[in-house]
Amino acid sequence: MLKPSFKNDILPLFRPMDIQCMRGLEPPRGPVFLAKYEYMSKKENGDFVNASAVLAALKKREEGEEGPPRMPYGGPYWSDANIELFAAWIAAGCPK
Amino acid sequence: MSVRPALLVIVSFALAFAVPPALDSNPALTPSPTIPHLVPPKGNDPSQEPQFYVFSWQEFFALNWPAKMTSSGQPERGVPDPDGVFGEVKPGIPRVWETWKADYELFPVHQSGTLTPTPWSSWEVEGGDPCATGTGLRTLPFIAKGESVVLGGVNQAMGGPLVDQKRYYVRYEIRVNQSEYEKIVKNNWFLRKNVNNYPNPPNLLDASTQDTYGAIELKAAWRRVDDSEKSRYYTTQAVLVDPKTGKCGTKPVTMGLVGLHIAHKTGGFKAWVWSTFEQVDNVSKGVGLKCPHSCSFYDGKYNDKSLYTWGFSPSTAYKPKNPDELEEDGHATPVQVIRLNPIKEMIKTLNDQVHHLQGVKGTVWENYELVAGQWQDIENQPDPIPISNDTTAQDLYPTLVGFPTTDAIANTSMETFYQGRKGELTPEPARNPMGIPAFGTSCLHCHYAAAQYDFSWMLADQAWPSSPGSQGTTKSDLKAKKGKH
Repeated sequence: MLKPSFKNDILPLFRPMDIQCMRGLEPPRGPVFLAKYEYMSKKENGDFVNASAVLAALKKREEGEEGPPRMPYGGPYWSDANIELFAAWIAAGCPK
Repeated sequence: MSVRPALLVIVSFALAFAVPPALDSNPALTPSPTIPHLVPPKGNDPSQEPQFYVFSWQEFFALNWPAKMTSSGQPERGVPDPDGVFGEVKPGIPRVWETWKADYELFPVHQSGTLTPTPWSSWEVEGGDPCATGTGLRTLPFIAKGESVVLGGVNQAMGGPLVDQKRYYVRYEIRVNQSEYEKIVKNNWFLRKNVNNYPNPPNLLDASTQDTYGAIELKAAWRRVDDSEKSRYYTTQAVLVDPKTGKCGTKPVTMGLVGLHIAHKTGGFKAWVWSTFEQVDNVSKGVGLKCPHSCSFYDGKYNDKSLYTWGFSPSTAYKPKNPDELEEDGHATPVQVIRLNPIKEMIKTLNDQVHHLQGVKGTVWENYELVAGQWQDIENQPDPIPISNDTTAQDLYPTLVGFPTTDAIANTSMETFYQGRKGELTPEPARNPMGIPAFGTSCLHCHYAAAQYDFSWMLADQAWPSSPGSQGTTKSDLKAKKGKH
């Protein structure tokens, strides 16, 4: 894949349950708008802060690690291939 | 492959209770094999409320009616035996609802997305029965919303697993009637690519009319019962999937029905009519109180703060778990549960009346009770129902016309962790330990979050691929799978 896009490659990876749970989370854990491109591609100080935070939660491997729980909460967890796809989307500048 | 549920139940139990105030002259309360089509609108008249609860019991009677058997010895899907007797439970003859299609039949287990669900009347399972019993026994995978079957599913809907006092995990199954099944198949909604997401038009199922049935969706909860308990339960023989390893059991076990949800889209009730039943021995009425026949989910002693506050303990039990985090089935840590919100007096009175009905009294069904019901007042209700914008934190539920404001309804066997919050903290009926106010603590509020999929979390999360993010084979996936098998 040359350049993953949010609409075609990233958004379809989230379940409706993921989207509803995350957008409903109370502060400070949320809300997280997985289905909103403008939120996911938000850039601060050169970093795609929200997408990077989601990626970090997707990549967590060990229970007991500090920070928010691994995503999706309770599993099944994303495959390495899709985590790599998500990382590639960020690296490409979060194309729409 | 045949997947014919077989039943083994011993029923001969009669208890002598004082007869409650007579309502058993109400002909609507007579057990019947006919599922009611419509329920009268409640409008703004509180006196109509009992009709909904009668409707719930009518559904329970009809759905638990013995199924009609064919000459080949298989049940006819969705058809009651006209000569059947509600209170009689015979080995090998399932109840009507058990002949409905299971979620794993509607959303076949496969990798390619090319399998099509079999016709309604078929007992073949596209993709295969998960445990390939080949003996007509049902398979009870440890399923939850959002995950199809067998390997992945480990949790209650939006919560953790429930472990009974015997240290076994509670199992769940979802089934749908012919109308819902065929609508989803006809529209190819079993494939995610064909399901509309917000802001596209919602995927709407049919509602029952005076002459036709619309969508009905069920969820059942089962726990393993031993010989000393089974006379108090409707039971079935099932092959269990080990929730930790994903392996199928080698021999069937006796499972007792502990909970039954019935959701029926009917008439003007576009947000469905919700009824939920439990086995009477599930939980205690309060902290420190024992059940007459010992509680399935409470030891009668536990009294920690979490029980008072949330209705369950330990306080972390609500967290969903993946298979690696689970304990061995039969050796897991029990979850202590009480009923945080008492059953309404109106419903308790009706339950007492039902339990004394001829055909119910002295049968296993005497040990089941309606716990709650929910519906919308349909007067002035906009159609279609407005749907919250899923790219924002918007929750339109509090603004919806006619939706119940009482928001603390839960089946303790299926929504153990969504009973609301009480106790020493500020009581908040709609509070859930997940910290997601938009899910509330009731059938309607939670399922409203799936309104885009016509209030069906099953459709929302089980259309193939059910967990698209987890699809795709990688080295670590293969390693994990090898570890499980």
